Parts: sequence; structure tokens; C-alpha cells
Amino acid sequence: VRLLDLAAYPIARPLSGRQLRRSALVRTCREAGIAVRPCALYDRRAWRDDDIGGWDLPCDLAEPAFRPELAPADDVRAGLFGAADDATFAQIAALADRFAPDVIQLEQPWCWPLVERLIGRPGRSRPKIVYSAHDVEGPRHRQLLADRRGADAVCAVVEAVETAAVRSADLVLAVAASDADAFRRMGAPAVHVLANGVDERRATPAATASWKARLGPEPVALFVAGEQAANAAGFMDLLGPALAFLPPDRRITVVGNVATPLAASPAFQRWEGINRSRIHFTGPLPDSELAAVLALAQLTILPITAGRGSTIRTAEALHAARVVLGTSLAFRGFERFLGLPWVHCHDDPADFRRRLLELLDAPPPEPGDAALRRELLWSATLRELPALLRRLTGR
Amino acid sequence: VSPSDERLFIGLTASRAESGAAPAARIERQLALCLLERHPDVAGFCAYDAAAGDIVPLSRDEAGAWLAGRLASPAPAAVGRRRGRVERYLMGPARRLLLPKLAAVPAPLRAPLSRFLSSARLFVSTGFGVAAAVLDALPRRPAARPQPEQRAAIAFTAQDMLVLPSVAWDQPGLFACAFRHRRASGVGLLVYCDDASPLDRPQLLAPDRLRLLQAGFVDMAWSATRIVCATEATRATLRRFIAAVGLPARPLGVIHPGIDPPGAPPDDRPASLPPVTPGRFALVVAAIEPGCNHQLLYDLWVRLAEEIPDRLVPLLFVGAAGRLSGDLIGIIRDDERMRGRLFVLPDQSDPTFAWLYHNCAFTLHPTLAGGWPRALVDSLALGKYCVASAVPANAELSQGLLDLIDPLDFMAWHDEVRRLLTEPDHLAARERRIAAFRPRAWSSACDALTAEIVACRAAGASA
Repeated sequence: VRLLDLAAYPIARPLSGRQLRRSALVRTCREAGIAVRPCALYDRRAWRDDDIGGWDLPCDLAEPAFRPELAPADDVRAGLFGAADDATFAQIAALADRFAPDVIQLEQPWCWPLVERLIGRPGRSRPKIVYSAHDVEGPRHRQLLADRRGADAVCAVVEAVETAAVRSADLVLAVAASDADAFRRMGAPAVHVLANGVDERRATPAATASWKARLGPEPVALFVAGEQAANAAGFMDLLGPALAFLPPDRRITVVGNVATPLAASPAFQRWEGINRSRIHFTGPLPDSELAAVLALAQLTILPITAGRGSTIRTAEALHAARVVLGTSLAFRGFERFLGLPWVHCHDDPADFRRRLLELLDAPPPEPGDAALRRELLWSATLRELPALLRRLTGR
Repeated sequence: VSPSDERLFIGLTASRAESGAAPAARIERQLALCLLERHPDVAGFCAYDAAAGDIVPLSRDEAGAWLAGRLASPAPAAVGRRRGRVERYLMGPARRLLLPKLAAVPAPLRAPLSRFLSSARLFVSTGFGVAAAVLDALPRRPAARPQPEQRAAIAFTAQDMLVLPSVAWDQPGLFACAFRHRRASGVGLLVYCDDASPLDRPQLLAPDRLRLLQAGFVDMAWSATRIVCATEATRATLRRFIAAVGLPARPLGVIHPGIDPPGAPPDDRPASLPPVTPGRFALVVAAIEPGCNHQLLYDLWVRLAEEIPDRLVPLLFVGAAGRLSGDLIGIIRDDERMRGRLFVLPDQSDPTFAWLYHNCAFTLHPTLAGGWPRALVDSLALGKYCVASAVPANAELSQGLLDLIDPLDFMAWHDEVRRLLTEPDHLAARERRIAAFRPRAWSSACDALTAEIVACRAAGASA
């Protein structure tokens, strides 16, 4: 089986949740003997050189400006650009023709316009189309862009692209059962749930010692998230208006690119002095260091208030054998963990804050159920993927 | 505070850099000495050592020197130290040397020369900044740094009480440290807060100062067993802040500070003052910063100079130049019309203040907000009428004896000041009215503070 995996973001250096999932999908296929070409049509302004893989193609959405009205959703712009720009399309078509895939897999729906043009060319056999969804994008964008001018038009394009991808795909992969239901309602012919997972990470002794010294002796809570504005909004919605509810000797360690939208948000800046006195921003961390911080934190918080799919950060937190505090949205797809004594779920901000304080003062947690945690590894959650692809292609 | 195992620690925080005339330093000195006098057997002094990150004891000699403004804290916080040194050792002396000379320069040359000096100041300041950044980046041998004297931190117990008679916001770790001790030992902490008004006007603060204050007030709210405010207005501000940041309500008391106006003045006008005639000048004692509303008085004096040039008396602004004050000071300095009518003076010694208060015609206090209005109560205690703004602290402390004026109502200030200048009977009537002012004694404030300490101990014992 030959699989061309198309996305609007590269995975040579996977850090964000969507990069980790796509990277795990590619690895799982390769380990099962499936030939995979991961190709990203990426916006050259947004990535570093070492983020880019061998089959990735740059596009420049700014010069000249392409569909500027879609700027709040750059990924969908990239997909539309790939279909509209003949030179870019020719490069991808050449790659596809040389590789002759049995399956074209879309990571998120953004490259659907490109795939539609690819498979619409006459005289070529149509490969199977797999839409690998990470979320239900229409409602997510409606929520994310609620306050933006021109959001309706952007969301309409997002919904149109997503619906077309869902209906045209031979198989839709969803991250949670609730998402699968949504795709069936949208007209998907076949849907399968492949939950998010986590890689087995081991902290090096040096990383552990270094982070132990940096975090200090007092218990800290950990928040790991990417740069999506919704991550910052969820944090402030649940923990705001200010982190004054934390005593002077309690901190939240914030890992990942969420630091940028969080520190820039008006809610954070209103009480910046207080918030910064109770937050330790680390920026993105490599795996070994993230493993060290996960192991040293008293608990991990998942203040998620937007989106529908399950998050990889939830899998990471549940796998770390530490206490986890999240919202019901954060545990979507991981509901079977909710009854465990080290897993706490609150949607009300006051309850969330109160429980966070209690958990920071509680004795360090016992390690969780090891067998249950093994279910969270990618090797378990994506176990069925290769067989699904073989069945789909009849090989 | 009687049983021998109950110790009382008086924590000194007011920075040495703060003028002795500043309300916080004055309040700290008076309350600390008062407490020591009341509880000589159990009271001792301490201070926050930023380098050690802990609270260390001070001998009584050290405390005496500190309270007299002669001793720096054991390890002052690093906030703004380098900038402070450049200002203290270079810019300050240069300013003192050059400004009088600038005044003597012919008028057409003054403005360009002033701009040149401002540019030179910026150039020097930037040069020091760059040099400091380069030096910071260079590797250094640890042995080259002098090691500060290490003192053993105080081991507090649940029977102890720590009292901070003032709060200093340039020591970011102070309250976190106090909280750590409270969590570990159960020591009681009583904080006397003389001013929370910056929380009401954050737009007037430098961003780093605002961050420091926000975190400091929250840490204070967490660590204090009880907070006592100098005014109801300060208590109201703190209550609003505590609610706004989502903290549960905290117990907040109010004790008005004592009043100790400047004593007997020297016979002759001190040499540091401009040639003003006794009884023929008006006085403003306040740091020069936007919240103190000096702009209104400048505009008012310009208007009155046009309307009643022969009746207008000189106005003296006395106070340290604060943030965003440069433009106004520059405008006053360069305004030919105001030459001899408006003077900007730095903080003065106590005898000079005494001479100014005793010899002024009246004082003005147009503040937009504020903590304890020391200038207002000093003025009233000395029988000098004060034209003051209608802000809560002024209303609270003036005992109903002043007709307070909206600090944004220019014409109301104009009408009142013009009457004071042109109708001698009006000023005399005002002065007769304020003769009823009754200054509060420090002993009374200390009695109330002692009662708070006893209540804190009782609450701690029953907890």
C-alpha cells in the first residue's frame, strides 16, 4: 500500500498536538510496511528550516496576498492556494504522479481543494481518500472566531471544505466517538475512531535534576498547550480573572507556544503583575524535558473550553501517572478514565480553581494504573490503522 | 503582649531611598518607635534580606540608624539599582550644578541649551545602559564579587507576631517570604498599609512598577493575618482590588496615623528657598506626578497671572520629581510668564518645611487620589487653610472643615483661589473655621495598633 499524506503543516520536528498525531499516524503506517510520503503545503512564514521535511512544499500567502479575507484561517488558505496556483499544483501533482499512491490521506480537511483537483484530472485512476480529522472544524472555528469581523464568511468556507472532505472520503478517521457521530450526520460513508495517544517518554536524569532545581521545592501545576488562541482563552476563562487565588508559593508551569497568546491576551494583561508572579513560562520543550516536567509536577491541568475532539495533551497528562484536573471537554474520548481517583473533572471555574488549590496542597499522588496507561500509547490507539488501510485498498 | 514567649518583631521595610518626609517612612518611624516603647521586653526589629530571601534580625542600633534614614536594608532588592546609582551619582549632581547656571543663560539660548542637555542626558544614560548590558554579558570570576554578610534568618513560632508598620513595594519577595513563614510556623502578620491609591490609577504607573504593585498587594493579602489601613479610602480601594482579582474578602481595619506637623521654624528663610516673603506665597507639598494634579495649579497660576497680576503670590511646588513629571517641570522652567511666580523645589529638610508651613499664606492639595494626605493634615494642624480636592481621603481626614473641590473642576479652583488672594476676609474666615481641627496623637494610633496586635494574637491562639 502506498499512502500520500497531505497536510498544511510539516512534521519534521513534531511539537504541537496535531503534529504529534500526524507523526504517529505516519510512523504507525511505516512500521506496518506501508509506504508513506508525508507532504505538507506549508506557509513559509510560519516555520523554521528544521521543521521542514523532504516532500514538503512552501507557499507564500502574503506576497501577493491570496484570499486575504481568509487570514483568520491560514490553513484553509494554504489548501485553496495549492488548488488555485498552477505552479504549486503542478509540483504536488508531479509528486503524486511519481509516487502513484493507493491512498491519499488528508490530515485535517484543509488540502481537500487540492485533492479534489488532483483526483479530478482525466485519465488517471482514483486513489482511495482517507480524511483524518482532528476535530470537527466548523463548530470549532465558529467558536474560535466568534468575536472576529468577517468570521461568518471564513467559517462558511471552513464548513464547505470540511463537508466536502467528509462526504468525498472513502473513510473518515475521528479522534472521538462524538466527532464520529458528527461526521456521520454530515454524510460520511464510513467512519472509524482512532483515539489520540502518547509516546512513551523517559526523562533523562540530567533533565530531571535540572528541572527539579528550576521548579523549586513547592508543588507546581503544569499546563501544556500550543499556540491556538482557544488554549489561552480556556486558561483565563477557568483560572481568571487573575491567578491571585494561588498563594504566593504556588505556581503554574506553562509549557509550549501557548505562552504567546496567553501573555498577549487582554484578560492576562489586565492583572499581568499577579499572573506573572504565579506562572513559570518555559516555552516549547523537547520530549525528554517535557517528560521530566510532567514527572515533577504535582498535577497537570487541562483547562479546555473550546473544540470538540480529544486532545493529545489529555493523553499525555493521563499517561504521566500524576494527578489530572480538566474539564469535561478535555476528557472527550477519554471518558473511561473519569472514575479514577487521580482524575478530576470540573467545568465551573470556581470549582476548577478550588480543586486546583486542594490538589496543590495534597500529598504527592500514587502512580496510576500501569495497564490502563499503556492503552494510551500510540501503539495501542492506532493499532487498527494499517488493517483499515489494507481493507480499504483491497491489498 | 505580656507572656515572655510571645515575641513581637517590628519589620522595617521603608526604603532608605525614600525621603524621610515621605508618608510611608514617617509612619514607619513613628509606629515602630511607639511599639518599641510600649513593648520594650518582647519587641525586636527585623528586615527582609533580599539576597538571602529571608527575614533577618536587626539590632536596636541598626534599627535606629534605619529609622533615621542612615542604614540601607541588609540586601536591597535589585529593582532599579543601577538606574538609581546613575541618577544619584551622575545625573542628580549634574542637574543640581547645571540648572542654576541654565537659569542665568540669556533667554533665547535657554531652550536650545536645555534641549541639548536633555539629549546629552539621554546619550549618557543610554551609554551606561549599553555598557551595563555588555558587562552583564561578560563572564565574571565569582571571587571578584564582595560577599554580603550572611545573617541567620529568624525562626518564627506560632506565638510570635510580625508587624510591618509600612509596606515597601520594591521588595518583591518580602510577602512571599512572610507567607512561607506563616505557613510553616503560624506566625501572625499584621501589616499597616498607608496607601493603596496607585491601584485606582494604574495608567499613571510605569508598567514594571504596576506589575510589582499588583503582585505585592495580592501577596500581602495572602500573607497578612490582618491588614490595617491608614484611611477608610485606602480600605475601600483594597476591598475593591481584592474583589476584582477574585480573592475572598480579607479582614481590613483602619487606624488613622498620628499627626506631627513640622516644629518651630528657623527665624530666617532657609537658603535653599527662593526669595519669597513670609505670608506672601502659596505652598504645595507633594511628589510631582500626574496623580498629584500639579498641572491644574500651573494652568490656574497662568490664568491668575493674566487676571490679577498684582495680587498673585508665588506658588512653591515642593516634592520629588516623579514619573511623567519631566514635561511639566520643563514647561514651568521655560515659561517666561511664570518666572518668579512658580518655583519647583525638591524635597526639603524638616526645618525648611517648618519655615514653609509657618510662613505660607495657604496650601493647596489638588490630588486626584491618594493615601494618607499628610500635607493636608500638617497644614490644618498648623492653622493654614488648605484648598483641597474632593477625594475620599481628604474628606475623611479634614474633619469636615474644608470646602473640598472637584479636582477636575478648573473654574471652581479658580474662583476659590482668586477669592483667597483678593478677599482677605475670605481667607481669615477659612482660617477661623479650621481652628477647630484636632490632630490625632501618635500615642492614640499606637494604642489602636496595640489593640489590633492583641486581637491578632487572640485570633491566632483560637485558630
